[in-house]
Amino acid sequence: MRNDILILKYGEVVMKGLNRSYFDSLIIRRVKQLLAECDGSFKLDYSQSTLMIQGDDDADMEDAAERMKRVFGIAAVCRAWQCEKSLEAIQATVAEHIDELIGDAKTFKCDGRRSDKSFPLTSPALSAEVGGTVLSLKPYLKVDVKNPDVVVRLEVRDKYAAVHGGGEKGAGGMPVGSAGHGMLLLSGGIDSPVAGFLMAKRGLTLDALYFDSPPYTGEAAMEKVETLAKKLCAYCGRIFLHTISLTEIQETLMSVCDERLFTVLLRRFMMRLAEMQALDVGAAALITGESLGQVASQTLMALSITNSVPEVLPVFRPCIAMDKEDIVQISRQIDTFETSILPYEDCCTVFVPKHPNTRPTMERILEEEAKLDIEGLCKRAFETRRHKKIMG
Amino acid sequence: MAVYFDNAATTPVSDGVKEAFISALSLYGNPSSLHGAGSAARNAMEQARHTLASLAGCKEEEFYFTASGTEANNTAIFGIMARKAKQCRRVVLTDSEHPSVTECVRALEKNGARVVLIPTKGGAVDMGTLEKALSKKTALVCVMAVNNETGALYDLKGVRSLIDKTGCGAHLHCDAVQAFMKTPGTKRLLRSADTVALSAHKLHAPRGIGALIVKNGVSLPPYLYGGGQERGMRSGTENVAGAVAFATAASEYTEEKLATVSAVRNRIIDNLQKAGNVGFNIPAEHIEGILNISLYGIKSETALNCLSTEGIYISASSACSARKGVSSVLTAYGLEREGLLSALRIGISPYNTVEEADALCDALIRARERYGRI
Repeated sequence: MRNDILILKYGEVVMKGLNRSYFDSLIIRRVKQLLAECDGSFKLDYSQSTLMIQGDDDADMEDAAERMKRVFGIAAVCRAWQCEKSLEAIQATVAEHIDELIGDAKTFKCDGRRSDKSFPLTSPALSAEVGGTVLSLKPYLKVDVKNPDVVVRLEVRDKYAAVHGGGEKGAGGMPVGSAGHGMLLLSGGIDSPVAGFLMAKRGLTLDALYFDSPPYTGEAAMEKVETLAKKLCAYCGRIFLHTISLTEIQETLMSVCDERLFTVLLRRFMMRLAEMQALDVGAAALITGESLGQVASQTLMALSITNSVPEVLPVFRPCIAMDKEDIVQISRQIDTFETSILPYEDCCTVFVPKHPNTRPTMERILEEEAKLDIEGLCKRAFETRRHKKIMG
Repeated sequence: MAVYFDNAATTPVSDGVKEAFISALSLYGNPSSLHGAGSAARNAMEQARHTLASLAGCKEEEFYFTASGTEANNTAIFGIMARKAKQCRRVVLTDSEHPSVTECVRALEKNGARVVLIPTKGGAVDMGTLEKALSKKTALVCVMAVNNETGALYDLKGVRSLIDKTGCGAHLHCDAVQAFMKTPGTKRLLRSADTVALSAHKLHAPRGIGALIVKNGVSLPPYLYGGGQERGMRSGTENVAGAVAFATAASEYTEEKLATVSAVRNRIIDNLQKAGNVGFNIPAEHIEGILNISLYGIKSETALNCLSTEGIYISASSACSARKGVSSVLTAYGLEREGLLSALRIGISPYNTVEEADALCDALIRARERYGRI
């Protein structure tokens, strides 16, 4: 029987009160979803804000650990060795894995924690005893309690004891689904997948809305967006990807309206359609990748004009205060960057005015919109909707 | 029924090749085995080598099968550089080579090689710059026979003469994937290079088979180690059916077939000339099977998408660089912004017809009329 396990430490959800069990159940559901994709079968044991995962002999624990790092709500993921709750068993486990625990460190300390207060040794006494074991096995080591190269962690829990060398950082945030459901405007660029990731991290499940513009945009751009959605699924579970064609709206704007206002006028249409789609599927917020001042349509004036469109839903813009470099860093971390920079046309690059107006006024926008049959354009665009379920 | 004009990317397998390929799949023996089944497979393999070597104007012992043109380029470039002395680290290549050459050279550069790019503006190798780049330090010169985006036929013979004249002793490697059997003078052309990369799937054969010609006297280290197949150069149980298909496809590419290609090409040019406002990016020396145009007024991707919805397939640039944005090859050729944005590559095969040429041009013009924006 293998004794290596995963210990997942819960993050912010531990602050929750009476509704705590709801948050816990969402974490466990997501953990089970991800483990179902791993080789082997797994047993879960939850107690004291910690989830212990034990795999059978076929289980790929490394793969499981990697996947657990993508579960929102988890603060740390530790690969540990489980043993019986006795000093002798803990010492034997440390001895068995001494090389993996110490590596090439020169200094160490043992950090014993007993949440089971009936365990006969106090935490400091446990640390001291096992510290002695480590020193007898690696006599060249020195104990350094303030700044050790490695910390050998000893946890005495309700049903078992565990030994590990500390955990890796988890995804943090709140469990997916705990905050409701949002509609991500997914463009194919760098920012929108990051925006989706950040809001999923705060507990939203996602639907995504992509605007295409056939034949100006093609299959390759669509496949690119599907790939991005799939990469997001690794964090937030399944995504329903909706696609609406903007061709007629874009062509009408180009032929009827002031070209300098094209982008802002188009974004207002996107917001109208996004809100229609969000309400249709029960999403309670819109999510965009806008970042203040990044491009002409994201100046404060342009944003406030775009922002005034949704009548019911809030618009979340988690990238609003981020530098491009910071957004890129997250996109690399979630593995969307390389896909985002593929050079296919998307609906935002098809018609780009030579000199966009960066200080549009609502008055001018309304003047231009008065030339349009907004309701008819939206209705016909909405009829082009297609849907696809994307799985991680 | 699809109209396929992307034959520079890859080609559909022809009926004759399909038949030969399927028949060769029955040769189940391992060509290295000593029994009858092995012997039958070995004979088919060697017959294919004989046919191909004869078409390429080389000796059978100079002809090595690989899995692709990319593998052949990798084998030659890394192999030659491994054989060259430490002080001889300069690599000279044109600015319009295929990524399977440029990426090898980029890797060599990271390991200390000095790289010199030779301009190919207008589709011709700049011989003046090349001459200046040749010295005793020059280990390798890479010049493709035919450019995959413009169809430019580069002057390999002239490059060979320059190398010989300077006496620098540089190795000349030629990526001839787009050239083999596509121009009447293939044999003469390929004789100029020390190593030559070939691929079957541009000739209506399946993917997964290519070749490297290594002239006698040139020594390369093995690319894949193992059972010693391909005379120790490229271990791995041989792709017998692939080799047979390659030989059949090359044999099918007769001069009559090239004439069909020319007829279809001329029809496309005539049609588009009549339509007007089209740039023909045709180098002085070129093959007939690749026609690069700029359909002014409509972005390449939009034209491509329009045609695709009608089941007509062309490309905007090489399939191997379509994921990288604006074509560096066409920039090197000298196209300006408007020409670049609207550039289209039409890859013509002997199996295309003039009716297909008409359908293609008709669709292109309609697409521009309806969706032209630039």
